[in-house]
Amino acid sequence: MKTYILSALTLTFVAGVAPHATAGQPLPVKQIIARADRARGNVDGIVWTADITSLDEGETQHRRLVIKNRGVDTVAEFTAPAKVRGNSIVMLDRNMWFVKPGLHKPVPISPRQKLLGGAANGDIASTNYAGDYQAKFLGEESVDGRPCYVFDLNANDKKVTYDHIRYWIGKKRQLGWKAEFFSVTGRLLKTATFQYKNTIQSESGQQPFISQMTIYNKVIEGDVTTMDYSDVQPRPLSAATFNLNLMLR
Amino acid sequence: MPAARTLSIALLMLLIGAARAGAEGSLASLADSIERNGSMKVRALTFVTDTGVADSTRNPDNRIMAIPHLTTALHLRPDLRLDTDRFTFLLKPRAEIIRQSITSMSQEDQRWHNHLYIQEWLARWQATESLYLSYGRENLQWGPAGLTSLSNPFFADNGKSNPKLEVDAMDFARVVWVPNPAWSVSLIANTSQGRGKNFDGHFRRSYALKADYTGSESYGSLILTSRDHALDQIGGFFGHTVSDALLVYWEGAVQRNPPDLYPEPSSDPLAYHLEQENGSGNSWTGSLLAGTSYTLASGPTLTIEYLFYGPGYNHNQARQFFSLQDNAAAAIWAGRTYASLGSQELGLSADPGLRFLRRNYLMLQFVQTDIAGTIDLTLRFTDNLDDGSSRLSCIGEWYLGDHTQLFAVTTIDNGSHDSEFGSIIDYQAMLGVLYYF
Repeated sequence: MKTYILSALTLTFVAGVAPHATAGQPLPVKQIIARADRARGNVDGIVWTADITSLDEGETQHRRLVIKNRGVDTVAEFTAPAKVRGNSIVMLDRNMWFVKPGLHKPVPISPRQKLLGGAANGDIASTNYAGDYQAKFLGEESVDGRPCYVFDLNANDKKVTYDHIRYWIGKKRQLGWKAEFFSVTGRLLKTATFQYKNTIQSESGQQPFISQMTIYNKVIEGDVTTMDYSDVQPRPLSAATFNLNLMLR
Repeated sequence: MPAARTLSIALLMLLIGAARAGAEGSLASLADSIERNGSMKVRALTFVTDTGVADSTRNPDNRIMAIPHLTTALHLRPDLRLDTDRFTFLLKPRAEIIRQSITSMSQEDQRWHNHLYIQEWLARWQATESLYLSYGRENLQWGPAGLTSLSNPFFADNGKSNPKLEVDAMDFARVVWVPNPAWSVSLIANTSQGRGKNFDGHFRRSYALKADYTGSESYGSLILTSRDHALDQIGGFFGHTVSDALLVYWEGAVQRNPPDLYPEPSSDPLAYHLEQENGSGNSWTGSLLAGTSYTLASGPTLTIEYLFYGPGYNHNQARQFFSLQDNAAAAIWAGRTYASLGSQELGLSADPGLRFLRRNYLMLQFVQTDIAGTIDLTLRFTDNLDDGSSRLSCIGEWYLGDHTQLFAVTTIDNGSHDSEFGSIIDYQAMLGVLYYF
């Protein structure tokens, strides 16, 4: 019976419709993924501070960034420590540049390039799972006691940081609580957990927003990178914020 | 524009901006506004550079280029910025103390230089939601290429060969229109030479129209440049993110009557002289750079670039160029009556205005950052495919704590004395300390 129900759920999700999530109303899969995306930063105009702490080969490193985000465009400016202050990573959808006060022009970089410790540039830019991946429902599991849907996300193309993601999204508020990131060969590269202690005001009222992302490196055991998000401020950001011609170095 | 005048204007604009920011009136609110909206980054670096000057006829006994064998320097580089609702002000004053030792067979010269100047400054006004107007001294750089930015009509040096030295900036007025996130259009007027250097040594006011497009996984730009009331250059670049690890890019330009110097047969004793080609004609010369970079899963990024540089010398021109130098150097050594003509021609040949001397180049680069959490390393090999000479560069940066960086920038040139990379220096080693306040 349980297998039957799971199969039925799977068919429903593959067809693009979730089970009765709330008040008997079915939610499309893409909508669930998009809701989870919004709580991780994919909104129109938001600024927050990210403190990244990395435990890499026994060494602890720390970076503070101010991240400006509008949809799929992001500018992440390092503000601490002093040696990286003023460095920026500009991410215009999948195009990325590194901007440094000492360098004379923005340098194109790839999403795979290392940000700090186990975090790649793509890890702070990847907020568009709904657009970048095809989701398939796998079943239900609990994460830290929270009932979750489990999705298998497969990349639409080869241009994203991870070819395949297993994603746990809470049934109650549609927040992503856990993710496993796989290479194209199916090798588990990283796992991540998320917390949502921040809130932002949206059209539909107070909305939870990511407060912490912890990345566990599964290739080098023991390497852990934690990104703490604070000072979250939704505000309009002009197109110029993301224009390289107007970026001062 | 004299440095003092530039400094005065920049400070005045900074004060106007500050006053505007603190329009509430009181001095306290002004100070508070500056504190809230202003920022300052200060870097100090000291270094010593040892240069092995090549023994070649292009620079006999280092008499023509007077390249310092040993340089010690202390640079103080504060960057000040103030942002208000619609205004942005930037000021980068610089203080430098430099000691240079220039030696040749005939003499040893010690020189001290103290410089206080404005490297860059900018005043920018956001006229509307999408329109920005600015004037200032800027180092305008663009394009994805590492070897050279062919589409940039203003700067030949993109600063990549030695990131510890700043490229001297020029004065620009700019209007930038950003109608939507995908498109922007810039009107750029290069109004003054500033501290910069022009390709042919003579400043000519120039104007550029730059249109930029950024798509979801690609970007591109078209740049039209006008000098002397005529279209002077059409340039552009394009980049594409193929995957999360692979990037490809192109950059190119066609240029009308490049103002560079080319060897021409002459009846004088040197047999050749340098002169501008096609001075009265209307010929167009094209250049193209293609590059790709790949980031390995283990971290390093590998880059390869191929450059075809149209204005560079062909085989015959290169042969004449180095023959001219041989003849000129021989005249100087022998103290002949036309030695001064030889010095003059060698002076011109020191910088004939070309970005590169020849036409075909290959560049290979290895970059790995954050090695053991403290070291950034760049290895770059540039090969002149026409004359077989090459340049190997290594840039190492080692962070000691949160404020201090030890760095080394070394260059080793290899080639015969009648080749591009074999005729000026044999090596250069720069060691220094950079402190971030």
